[in-house]
Amino acid sequence: MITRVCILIAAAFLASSRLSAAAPEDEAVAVDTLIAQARNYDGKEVVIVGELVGDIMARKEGCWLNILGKNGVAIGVMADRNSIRDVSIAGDYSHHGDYLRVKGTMYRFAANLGGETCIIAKEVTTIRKGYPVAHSLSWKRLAAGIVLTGASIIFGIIVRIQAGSTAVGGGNVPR
Amino acid sequence: MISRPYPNDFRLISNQIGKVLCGISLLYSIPCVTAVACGEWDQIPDYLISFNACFIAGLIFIFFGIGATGRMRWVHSMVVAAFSWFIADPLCAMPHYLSGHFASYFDAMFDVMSGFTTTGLILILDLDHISHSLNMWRHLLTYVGGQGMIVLVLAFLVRGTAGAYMMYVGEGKDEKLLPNVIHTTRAIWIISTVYLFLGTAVLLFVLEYEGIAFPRSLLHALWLFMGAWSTGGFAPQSQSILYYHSVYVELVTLVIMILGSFNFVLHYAVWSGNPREMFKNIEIRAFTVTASLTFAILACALIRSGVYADLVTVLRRGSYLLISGHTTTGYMQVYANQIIQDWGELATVAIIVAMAFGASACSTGGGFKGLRTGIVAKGLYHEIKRIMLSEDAYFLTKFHHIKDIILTETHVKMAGLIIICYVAIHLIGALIGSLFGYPFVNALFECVSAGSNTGLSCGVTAPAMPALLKGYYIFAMWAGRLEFISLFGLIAFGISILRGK
Repeated sequence: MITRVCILIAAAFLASSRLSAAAPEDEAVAVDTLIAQARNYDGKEVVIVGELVGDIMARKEGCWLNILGKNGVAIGVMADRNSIRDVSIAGDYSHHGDYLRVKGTMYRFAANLGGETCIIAKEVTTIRKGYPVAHSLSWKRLAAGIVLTGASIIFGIIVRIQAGSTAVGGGNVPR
Repeated sequence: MISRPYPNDFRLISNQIGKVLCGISLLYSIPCVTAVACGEWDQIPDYLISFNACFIAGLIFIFFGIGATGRMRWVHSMVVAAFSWFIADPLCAMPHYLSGHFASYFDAMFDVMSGFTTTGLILILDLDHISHSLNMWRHLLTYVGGQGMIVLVLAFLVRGTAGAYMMYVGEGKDEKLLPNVIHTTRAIWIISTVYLFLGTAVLLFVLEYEGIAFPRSLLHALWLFMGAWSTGGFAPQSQSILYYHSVYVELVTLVIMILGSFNFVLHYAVWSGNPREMFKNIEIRAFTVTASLTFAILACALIRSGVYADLVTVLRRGSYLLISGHTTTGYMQVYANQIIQDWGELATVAIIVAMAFGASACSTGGGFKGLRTGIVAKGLYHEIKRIMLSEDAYFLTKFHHIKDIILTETHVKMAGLIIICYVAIHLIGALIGSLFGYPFVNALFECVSAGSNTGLSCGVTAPAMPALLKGYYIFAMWAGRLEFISLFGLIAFGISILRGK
């Protein structure tokens, strides 16, 4: 009986630890909250999750990443090159960027980085790999564009003819 | 007695508005080429629809203007300038709305007016995922808006000069670089294009150095230049300049912003071999004084708040935002909420004052303008001197703007009137903002930013803000960009329709 209980407790513990690992967003602070309440988080260790957007900018001191949170606010993250080896896809029009979990120290005005509001990362984990986004051509819009082009040409001709005839015959419109 | 406009007056106005709209429609070719170059084929129908809508609207105006006779008068030109900007706004907002990045068409119109007037306030959603072609369109609007859409049409699409100067003035540029107004508009475009190549090349080099790969570096360099030179402040990423985390990007954009805020007449004078004009010109002197004073206040506020560890950081962060505000650009390298929350109210007031002073006359910038500030300051000096000297004393006060000019009462009165108009739209906007529940300082900051066409934000401008406030900001951006002159013309024309005989 005691053995069974122990096994059950161990299984429950394992399951709970696995669950917590599977949901890294639970412990994360929203990026917009981090910016809005930067004073409260200044110098503290925080975890954020978000999409990598734009570019991975390699510099002497490390790499700058910009992480976009759920509510459309992004923050700069300074990370060591080695910690972002498996990070490769940054979000733009044709890509969903890598969805990352960043653990690091939040600085409201980082003194050694020119007063930047940023996170100096200790650990960067890829939660979900980025992927290309296909944007399909809208045939309805294309048809509308072609119809309007036709209308432009016809109307342009009408205006030209009308302007010509007014200039030749009836240009002298009285006030 | 006020005379009611004749049908011919409407035809004259309609004809010119039509030409402006047809001219603007041709701009759609640039984002279309960008879409092809970047393989964004799905975007092409959007530009095709938008181009045709704008072109057909232009043709409709031309159609109703057929048969117009006689010469353009001042009132016609003012109505053309004011109305063209107003009609171009919804017509240029189509690609914005069709992209799906706006909550409503009204929001898209807000962004277009912000672009055209070189303001830089934005309501766009998920800016980090928009297409290259839409980014090109946004920045192109602000670049063209900086020079002036009527300047563009006059420079490239108008043959005669009848009424050209009046329309040129109606758009808020009342100084000529050359005797002929068409040559003046072309000179403005030549100056802007030369700087476009130079600035883009320097920014490309910096962005490559800072780790942004080609061709993104080229596109970002071009857009950053357009945003800085036009003092528009649009940036390709949602974090504005903060995105780049680079002191070099800040330095280069700072120089471009300052150059963009200078009077085109001054650029031309320097280019024509008169570099000493830089040191004598009243606008440069006014800018130097107001920028120094506001920066001194801002630096004191930042040092007192203790947010930055050293003086170098205070200089970097403070001077960039202040110059960005003073040149009415609106590039930011701090978060919107940090200005009031962390920098404090004194720093906020310093930035508000800098934004209100603004750039130079006949430049891409907004605000009171250095020329008016200088003239009013000279007028004050003149009055103080008059009180100090004996009653019989006769003296002249001069100011230098390309040449020495004797200060007259008319100069001071006109400059003062326009400044009063700016102050009025700022205060009304702040009042409206306060009525909607925003703190007064925040509401004032945002409205001065809109009315002076700056674009710095302390967080009020957002898609969720009240529609009335959005509408007022659109009005403030438009009136501020046209420097009220065309607005007065439009009001006069409206009165003559209603009450004329």
